[in-house]
Amino acid sequence: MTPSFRVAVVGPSRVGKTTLLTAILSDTRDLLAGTPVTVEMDERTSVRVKRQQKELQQALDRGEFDAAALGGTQEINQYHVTLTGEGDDSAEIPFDLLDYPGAWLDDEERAKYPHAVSEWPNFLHHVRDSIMLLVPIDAAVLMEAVTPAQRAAVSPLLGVIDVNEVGRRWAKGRQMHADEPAVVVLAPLKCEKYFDDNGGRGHQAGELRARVRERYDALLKIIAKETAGRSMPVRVVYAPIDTYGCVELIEARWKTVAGRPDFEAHYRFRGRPPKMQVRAAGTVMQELCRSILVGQTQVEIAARQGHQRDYDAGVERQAEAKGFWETVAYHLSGESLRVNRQIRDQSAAITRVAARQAELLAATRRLAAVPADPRVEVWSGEDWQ
Amino acid sequence: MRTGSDRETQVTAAHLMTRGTPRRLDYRFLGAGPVERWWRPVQDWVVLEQPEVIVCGRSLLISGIPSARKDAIGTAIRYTLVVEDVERALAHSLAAAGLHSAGRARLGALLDAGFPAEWVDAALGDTAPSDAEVARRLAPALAAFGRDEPGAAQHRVRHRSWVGALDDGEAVAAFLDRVTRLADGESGWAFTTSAIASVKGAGDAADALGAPVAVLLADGGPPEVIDLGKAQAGPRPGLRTMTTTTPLRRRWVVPLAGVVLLVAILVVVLIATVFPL
Repeated sequence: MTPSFRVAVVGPSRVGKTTLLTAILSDTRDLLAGTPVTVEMDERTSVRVKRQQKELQQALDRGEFDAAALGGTQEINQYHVTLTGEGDDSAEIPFDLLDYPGAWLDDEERAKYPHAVSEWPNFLHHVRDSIMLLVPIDAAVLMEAVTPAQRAAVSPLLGVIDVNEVGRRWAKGRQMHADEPAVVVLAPLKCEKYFDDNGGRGHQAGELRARVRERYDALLKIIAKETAGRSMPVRVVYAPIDTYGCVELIEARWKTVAGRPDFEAHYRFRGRPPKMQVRAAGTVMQELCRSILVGQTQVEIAARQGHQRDYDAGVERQAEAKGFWETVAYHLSGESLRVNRQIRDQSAAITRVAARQAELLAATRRLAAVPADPRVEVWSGEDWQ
Repeated sequence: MRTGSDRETQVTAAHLMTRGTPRRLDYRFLGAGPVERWWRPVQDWVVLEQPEVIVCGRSLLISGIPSARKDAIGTAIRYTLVVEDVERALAHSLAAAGLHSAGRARLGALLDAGFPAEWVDAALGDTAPSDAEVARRLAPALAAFGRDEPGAAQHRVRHRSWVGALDDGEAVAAFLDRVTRLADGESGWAFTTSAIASVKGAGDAADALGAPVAVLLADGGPPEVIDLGKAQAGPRPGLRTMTTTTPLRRRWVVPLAGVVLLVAILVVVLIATVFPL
């Protein structure tokens, strides 16, 4: 069985983990249009994503955002997806995305969920092996904090300390798999109010970027420190996403519940009728596919080296000087047949792997050439290292 | 936890999962919750964030029960109700309610009456409720169901495992019949699913569970009940199965060994004949 590449999502409750996954898995044909790859979901993932889309469409038809789908995750959910490149030799590359109830991120809260305690090590295992760490960020929590008290509440509400800890584990895992890609995506969600490029009138794109940078600076520093000296540097992608494109914040209210800060936000659909206009999710999907292609290329390189070793060993044995009796034994024992078969099989395997490798490299190059959403930035590590 | 209703004979334990208004109060059971997550084997085949009914023996779970409460970002909150060691009338009645939006709405309203927003927020926060308190609040909602004994089965499906559509009246009746029989002590599962939308997917679930299964598909269900048993019954214990996929090489091993043995015997006989001792 081919091992799957893994993608982890990390964020507290109600931050938008499922929304982000749905945004990047919905309409993958559109999101990856013009790229050399296609993405197929298994039945359960496909049904789940389609249902979420359908319910969202029903909410759009009703014009009531508060009745929208994606009403909070209560169990661990795994999304199984397969990436296929173009070309006859393209392999199907499976990858899994893991979603979980956000409250599990908080040690104190997690202790209240008996099965979360037992499932948590599996989640951390998944994180450690993930090539991509997706960090959804509630843009409204960041941007609507004005007073010092509200600003102080931002980190707890976004679970920044817990996200940092998971980020540390992820980075340690990436260091252990130094030949695999490592991408962290900081994804502010529901950004419609702060941009003017998707039907809105906001001019706070710079402010949003600055606030994300400020709040997640510690995470980026942790990752940089844990992955120092890595041959394949960690790629940090900033992707402010409009998960709906037709939703706007109408009321933001800060309050204290049981001595803890909380933030209530109420949204409504804009436009009549409201139309979904997701932004920047496609670029995240492209980043994901690019990472998987690079990861698979590394797998193919390792496979090719293995085949080459076996081929060389066969050729060496064949060419080895043998005395009369050893030559007789070599042929009568059937070793010569085995060695010839080994050389033939490994040669064919090397040719196959080389063809796949060429396909993957071509697909990666073509994917890299596809223009990214102008909102998306790849951040240089120099600023926080 | 034990319910404290006057209909105590109908159910041994009932649990309720929901979330609070503040962000950090995520979905969790009020009070201790079930000792065992008995629905775990089907968890990968259902979506507990959606309306589902899962029955295993005398245990029943209904998810996606709507509450009128909303969370901090205005999203509708829902309940998941788990009842264990449930008596047949209540199992039938609750499952029937769980299969239809009107029934779930009625159940949700009853639960909302017993579990007001402020109480839930406190219970999921730092003031954990006692089991007795949760049971006391659950009792009226459960007491509103299961008053009538289910009638004699008129829609019994003889297949060991089958799949039908949630919008097919015959399949729903057969499903409820299976629920009643499970509550009476039969083994197996009955569940609805929003996670799969094909007969093949239901067959895979039945294979994975390895027990009698009745499945109702929320989407993509067949026009009539379809037998899954043949596909997943598997060999009977103690029977050796003949495989038709024996590799060609292995098929030749026995005859080849026989020929070699025969030749060896002939050679020995020949040598013994030519060079007698």
